[in-house]
Amino acid sequence: MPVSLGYIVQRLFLTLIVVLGVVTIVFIATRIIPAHPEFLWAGPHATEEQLRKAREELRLDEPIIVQYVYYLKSLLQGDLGVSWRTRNPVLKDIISALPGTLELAITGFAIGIALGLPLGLLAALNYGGFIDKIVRTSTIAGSAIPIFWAALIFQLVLAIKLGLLPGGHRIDPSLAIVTGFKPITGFYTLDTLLIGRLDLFIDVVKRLIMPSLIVAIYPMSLTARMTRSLALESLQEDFVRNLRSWGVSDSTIIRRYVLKFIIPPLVASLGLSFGYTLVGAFLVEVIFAWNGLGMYIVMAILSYDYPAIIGGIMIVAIFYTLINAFVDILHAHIDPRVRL
Amino acid sequence: MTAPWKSLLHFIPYLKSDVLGLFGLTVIAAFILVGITAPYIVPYPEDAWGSTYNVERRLQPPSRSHIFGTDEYGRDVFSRVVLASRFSLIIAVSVVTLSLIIGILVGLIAGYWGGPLATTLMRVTDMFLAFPSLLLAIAFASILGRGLFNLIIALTIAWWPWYARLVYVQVNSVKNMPYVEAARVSGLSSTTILVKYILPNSLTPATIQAFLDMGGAVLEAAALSFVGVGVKPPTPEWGLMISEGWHLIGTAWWVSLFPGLALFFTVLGFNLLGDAFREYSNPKTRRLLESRGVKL
Amino acid sequence: MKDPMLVVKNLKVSYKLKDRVVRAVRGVSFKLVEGQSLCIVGESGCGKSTLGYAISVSLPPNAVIEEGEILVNGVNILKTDPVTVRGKLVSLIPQDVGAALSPLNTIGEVFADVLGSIGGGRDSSLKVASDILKSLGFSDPQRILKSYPHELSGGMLQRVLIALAISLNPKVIIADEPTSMVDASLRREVVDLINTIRYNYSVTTIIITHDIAIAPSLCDITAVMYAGKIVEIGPSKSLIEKPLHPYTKMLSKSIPRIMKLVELKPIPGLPPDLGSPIKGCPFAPRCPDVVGDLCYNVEPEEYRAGGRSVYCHLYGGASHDTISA
Repeated sequence: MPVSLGYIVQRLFLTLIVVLGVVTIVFIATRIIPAHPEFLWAGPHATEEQLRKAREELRLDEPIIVQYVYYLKSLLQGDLGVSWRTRNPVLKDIISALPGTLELAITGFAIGIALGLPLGLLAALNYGGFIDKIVRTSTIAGSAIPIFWAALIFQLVLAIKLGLLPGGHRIDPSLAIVTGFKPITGFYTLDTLLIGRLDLFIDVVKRLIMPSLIVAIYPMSLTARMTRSLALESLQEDFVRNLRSWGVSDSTIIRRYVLKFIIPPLVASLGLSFGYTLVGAFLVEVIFAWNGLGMYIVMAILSYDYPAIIGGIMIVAIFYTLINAFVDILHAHIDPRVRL
Repeated sequence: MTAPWKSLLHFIPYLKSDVLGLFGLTVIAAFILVGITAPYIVPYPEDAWGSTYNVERRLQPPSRSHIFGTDEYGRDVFSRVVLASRFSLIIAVSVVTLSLIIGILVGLIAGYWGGPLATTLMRVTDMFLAFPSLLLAIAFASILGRGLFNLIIALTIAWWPWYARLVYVQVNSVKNMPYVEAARVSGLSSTTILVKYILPNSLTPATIQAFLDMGGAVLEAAALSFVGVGVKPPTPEWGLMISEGWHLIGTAWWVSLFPGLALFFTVLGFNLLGDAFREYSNPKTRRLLESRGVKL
Repeated sequence: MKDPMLVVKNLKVSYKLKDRVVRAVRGVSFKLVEGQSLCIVGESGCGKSTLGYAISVSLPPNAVIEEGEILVNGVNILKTDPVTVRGKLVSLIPQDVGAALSPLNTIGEVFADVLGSIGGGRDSSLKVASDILKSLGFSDPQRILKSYPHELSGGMLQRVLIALAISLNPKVIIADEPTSMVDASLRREVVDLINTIRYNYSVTTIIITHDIAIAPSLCDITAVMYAGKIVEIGPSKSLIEKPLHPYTKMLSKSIPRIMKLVELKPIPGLPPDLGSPIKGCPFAPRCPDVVGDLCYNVEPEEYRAGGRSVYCHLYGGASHDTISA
């Protein structure tokens, strides 16, 4: 059942307004709140000459509204400034870091849903019972774990103490040099397969396991909890009892009836949680020296590289807004009840 | 009239049958108590505040005199973990209170008066909600610079929109309740109606939510300190302490492990109580609890 | 005399709630032969629905069968895997037509899953389904199978539900308030349909209803339930024309009669709380003919007369012959 074009246009228009809001908030935060925005722009060790140039670039001597117009104009041209740590245009850095983050976040997200959905169903079917209590407790515990700490402890136990899995990096650095590995898409699992190097692929997958499992904790807890409460609601419906009384097995009822009620609202709320999974992945990246956006932003923070910090965060917020819009449209597409 | 308060009154007796919720409440009570008394109960108060450097006992593993071991500066980790609860408590209470006040003002104005002002306010709220809250907080914290006060401001900027939305929705639903309608018809002034009817009924859910959100505030504050935009060293703060032990993880795991455990259990306490409250106040699960689908 | 198809022996069902136990069915026994039909009549909360769920093996998870047995064709269904019982030995015609089917699945999908539970592919299942629908008077079964519940009228849905209930040829069918959710014009049709399947499939039927008026047109036997027990049971016609138990008398008086302007009398008072123990006759506090201490202290036993049974002290010592069923 497709959604109307009108709905999509309306939703995209709303997205555009929110994106404008996001860049405006960033403008206020970086140009109006600080007393000397040029210090942020040129870095802590800037010379007088560099500061003067920065003032000129940002047009700080002109009225705020003029600054704002030029700010929007440069954003439209993809100009987020230059990172003084890497000396690259910020946008270029972000684009090269994004695939690393996405590979980690998407894998973790997928693992989380794949584990959380059956757990939630199991809990609902055993409402109030032992399994339900276990699932309920562990999902609550899952959302209380500080993800960066969990990453550190996993690294300590699995990598350092037991040596089961590599403790960091997306690919073995020396192996990458020896083989002359160059990313194509930036998704290393894909790239190693594209160049037909199974040994590299296995190395990349091994390195992906631990961080993605940690990233999966949050979406798994959320999926399990949502599924549980949605399933509890559906299982109380008359039609479930009726199907049972006509001899349809519980597994068929779940698979072919209850899931139809669970999936659409689940998609809606999980879509929103992808943003949080992404931010969770950032913190995990830092621990595992994982070359991605999170590492990039944290390195920028540690070296007071403001164009990189602000640009990175702004791009993520815009990305997040677009995901929300996409999820809304997808939700309307699969759930006839929400359509306007 | 104030149904939410009534439901809160019954919540405490209900907890007797919810072991996990009761555990959560206990942990929270302990957290608050320790937060208040921390400086007087720690074995090494000077270490706790972070002003010491004891070369002779650097990086000692847990022992009888230092049950959580010592850190790079020879400070007693246990003392610091305990005192950190006070800073977490200060941050959580401040962030949640400030966010709640802003949220209530915005939500109430937008919800009660409506019109173009309401639309504008809620649009602005939505724009703030477009950021994952942790990222927005990181952005502001990095601009404002490190420090306890700036950390609180940055987190508040990221948090208030949630309460604004909650209060707005609540005011909108209370506004059209029959008893408010009746008050209006009987000629009560709009301020009286606001203070006597709308405020109490729309603030309770937000306040309860805010209390339960304190766990989240503790967690986000720790994350900010961990990435280097939170409190300044040598402040004892769980996120910062985990970060200080990060590069020592292979040799002195205790420096990071114990602050993390404290952080985990505190947040867990709030989450457990929050979950028990949700389970208790959700009419759907409530019906299940009471009747378990019984039809006689 | 034929062997009984359905035997319910001293059945006791209770619900475990958080802080107490509610005894919904407190010892019910009866027998039905093949093709016979029984109406169970009572106010809401008397345990009639619980009895129906127990016989159709679809009690909610917190219900406990404390005692008794249910034999269908000689098989104790309480000691058998429910999967081999549901739909195949006993089946249910649900109450609320509007909520009885999933709004997101077509009628055909439901038939495929119901018929699929005894094996057999989707196509053959749909073939069987279309035959059943045809036998129940649908001229275009293919269209029905492709429809979603909201695309069908209440009367059509009622027939679809009956078709689903009989699709696996059960021996016993329980209809839960089949006439309560349909309007008056459809009531006749529903009664006719249930009678049709009763005769065509010679299936034993149990009708659960609060409306004693429909009993004579649907059922050979009527049982009146009160506070988890049968208080009177007997052939429908004579039971309604000449009720013995004071409760049955009051129920009959609450029937609106066409052509006869009788004053409708609602029954005063409330049924007892099944969560606490009951002493004496449960109806005593509401009974107009209560005979003093005896009713309040001693639970009445069964008294039989003219093929009927009644549990009331008014008939003490009048036991003559046995009940026919």
